[in-house]
Amino acid sequence: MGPKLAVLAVLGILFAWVIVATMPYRRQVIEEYDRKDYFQMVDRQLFQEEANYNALNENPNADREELLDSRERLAMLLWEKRDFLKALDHLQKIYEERALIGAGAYNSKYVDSMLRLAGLYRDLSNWRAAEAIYQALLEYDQKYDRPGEDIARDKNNLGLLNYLEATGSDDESVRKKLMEDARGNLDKAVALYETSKGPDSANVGNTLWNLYLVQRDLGMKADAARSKARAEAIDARMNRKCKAP
Amino acid sequence: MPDQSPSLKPMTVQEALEHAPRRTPLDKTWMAVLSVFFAFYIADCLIWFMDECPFKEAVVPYTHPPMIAFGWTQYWSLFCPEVRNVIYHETAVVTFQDGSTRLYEFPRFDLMSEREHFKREKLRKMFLDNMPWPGYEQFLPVFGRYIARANDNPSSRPVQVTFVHNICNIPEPTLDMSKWTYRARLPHHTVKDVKFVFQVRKPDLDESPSEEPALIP
Amino acid sequence: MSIKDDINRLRQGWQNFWFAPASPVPMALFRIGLGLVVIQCLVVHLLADWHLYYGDYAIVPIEDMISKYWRGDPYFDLMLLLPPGEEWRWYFFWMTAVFAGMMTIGLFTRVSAVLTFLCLMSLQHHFLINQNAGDNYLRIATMCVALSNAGDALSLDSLIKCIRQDWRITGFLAPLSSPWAQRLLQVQICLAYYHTWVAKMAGETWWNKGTAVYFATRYDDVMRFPLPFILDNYYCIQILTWGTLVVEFALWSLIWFRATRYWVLLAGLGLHLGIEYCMNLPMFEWLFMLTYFLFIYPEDLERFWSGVVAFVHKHIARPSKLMFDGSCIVCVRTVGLIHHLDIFKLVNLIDFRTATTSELGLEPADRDRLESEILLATPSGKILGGFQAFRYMTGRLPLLLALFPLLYLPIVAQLGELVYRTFAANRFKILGGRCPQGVCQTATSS
Repeated sequence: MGPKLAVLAVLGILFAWVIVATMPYRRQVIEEYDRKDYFQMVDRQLFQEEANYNALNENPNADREELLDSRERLAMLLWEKRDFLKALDHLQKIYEERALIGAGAYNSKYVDSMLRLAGLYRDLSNWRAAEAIYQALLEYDQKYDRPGEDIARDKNNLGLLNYLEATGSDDESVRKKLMEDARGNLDKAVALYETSKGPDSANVGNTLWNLYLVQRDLGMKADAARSKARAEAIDARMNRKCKAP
Repeated sequence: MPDQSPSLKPMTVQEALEHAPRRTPLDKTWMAVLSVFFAFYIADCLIWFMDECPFKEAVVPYTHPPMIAFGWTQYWSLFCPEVRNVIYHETAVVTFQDGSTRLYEFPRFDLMSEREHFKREKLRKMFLDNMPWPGYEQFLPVFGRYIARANDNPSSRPVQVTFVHNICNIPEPTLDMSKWTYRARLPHHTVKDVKFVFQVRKPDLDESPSEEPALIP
Repeated sequence: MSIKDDINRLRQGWQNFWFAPASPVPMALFRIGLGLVVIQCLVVHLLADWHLYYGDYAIVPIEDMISKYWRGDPYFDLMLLLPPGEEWRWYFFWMTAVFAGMMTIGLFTRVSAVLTFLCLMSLQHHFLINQNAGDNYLRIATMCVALSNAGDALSLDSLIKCIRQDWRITGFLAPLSSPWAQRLLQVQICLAYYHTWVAKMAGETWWNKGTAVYFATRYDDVMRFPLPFILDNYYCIQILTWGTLVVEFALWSLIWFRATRYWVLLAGLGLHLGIEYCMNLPMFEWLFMLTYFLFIYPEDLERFWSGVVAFVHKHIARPSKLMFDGSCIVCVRTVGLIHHLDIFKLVNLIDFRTATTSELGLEPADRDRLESEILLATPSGKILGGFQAFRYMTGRLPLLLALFPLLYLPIVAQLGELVYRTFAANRFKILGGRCPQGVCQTATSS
């Protein structure tokens, strides 16, 4: 019994020591990470931004741009909290106001607000509304003769939207048509990004990933494999420390 | 150890083929200690399995720590009480600073080869069985940060990661075979449910400490 | 009086169940299977995405695991003590695989099993959110193997021990010991079946409608091979669903009765193999099926193996006779080792000191050779001695089969003879023991 007991005692002490010795470290980690808790941080930021926006809104001398920026930050935080309807209300109003501000010349803030609004409609699976805004943005960029990368961005976003709408449909004929539309838009986006940013740019890589999904779901195995291989090669050149599985 | 007393008459080959020595039997004290251990282990497991009730609440502070410390935690209620009646996959829409978007698809096990699926089963457990479901919401910002970093590039950094749960119901079985859902013809995962929206902040990408990180403009 | 008798009977029954000596062979078989599954878990499933789980840029770093999952719970994790840097976790991971390999082959079994348990638990606790029920069972089963005497049979430890022991005193069979760790694992698997059965009985699709299997076989993320008609027929689905409930009930209740045990195990095999065919859930089914070894009575295992041996003798190879000097301790230990390696009993041992002339069946000239070397009589009647006998036997001992072709290479044969004679001349120094009256000296040295 003696040797067995001794062995058990040694193992028990080792066991307890591993847990007890690391307890201070664990407590320290828990305290630190509780302080940096993501959900509490978002709540805090939302509360602060709401107060800031209300204060600006009630101030008749407040700068209009500053008010719109605050409203935009508030909308993004509401979006993050998945309070989509409130966020949509804010973003819609920002979009309408910025449309008036940027009537005569190209306004990048107006473009940003269109992109955000379209993104929220996309998240709400309101494909028609999202498509209308992306299309309007494309026409806006074409009207002001924007560089190829801006047109490419719009084509990419439209293509991805077509794909998301396609994958949200059970009707095979609708799926196919939308996928073909997606493919057309994404092919154009790739070409434009290659010209404006270079064939190995991150934008080309991201668009190729979108294109790969479309080609895969259309059954275009060889094309899909090529797109995927190219996208992977571009990702590998980025030397990112984190690699998505 | 087996009894190897030198005074014993050596066995013949045939006798040896049928003879098994005996290890020293356990003494009564050890048997008592082990019996207590068995009783505790079985009771601990049964309490672990129980639904929440006042009794469990009262004893859990004493039974949970050993379960966890010794690795006895276990869940056998797979596919029960009710089986899941949905099929799904997970995606994430990554939005970049320049306004472009990319769809990241978490590994699609319904489209993988057998071999690949077998190898990467642990990913399925993490991304499909755990990540989208209640009880694991606290990990969503961690996943969001990782996806953002995995898509980071200096020319246009990610600003938002939207987790989308693409799901559909498995139609109920029916005796009418014209309405039967065959295994080879399952419906598409068409319903999109936004599970989590992660706005990327500077420290999420740069690992630099910050008290109150602002959103990336 | 009668209550006291009942208590005594219960106590006796409890002691018999947990502590009555039993053969370690079932646990040894389980140990080998478990070790292979642990290695599979490490080298196939975890290694595929190792950096994602344990790298410096893991998808859920340990700080997030501690703050979001562990909280104040006392999870055991040796990896917390490692220096910073993923290379240390990499070495730790491979060390775990080495310990698992050692446990599988039964080398320093107790120590390697304990270390495998501690390291596996650490790896699992370090990254918890990719674990399934199979991982939980793997950990608990490794703990039970570490607590058992699973290294007493079918192991390198038992081979090493047999070289040191005198089988004329200890016998050839594995030592009997209290099988309490085996019983614990048997009880554990029954608890698992009990829990899953009770949980299923509360489900409408299981108990009431009988359609649970329909849904479970339509998960496209785990779906495997097709099974047309059976899984696309409403009545078959109901039979499979209710059949699952019946089998799982039997697996925690009727399995304890001798009359029903093997039928229940057969049904369990059918259940798990069926799930394994239809669904891609690695490790889980195989772990549970491996546990069924523990429910096989050792005498039935023995009977089964005797049947295998008889089949081998009838259709593949007949046994040879190995004649040795029973008064030479070195020779005794050598044949003891040979017997342990002879899993198909293709070498019958005969102590020429006690055997009759007819049992030996040798010419006088060959009888004289017995004083200086072992002799092997092949089934065809050929007499081989020394290295040649050893070379012949390697072709019949599966664990030495890899050596067999090498021993027929031209130079190797001569070297083999030299090695044998040198070994025979110095065998008492190598294997221990004494050779009174110079019995153990070879013909060349005498």
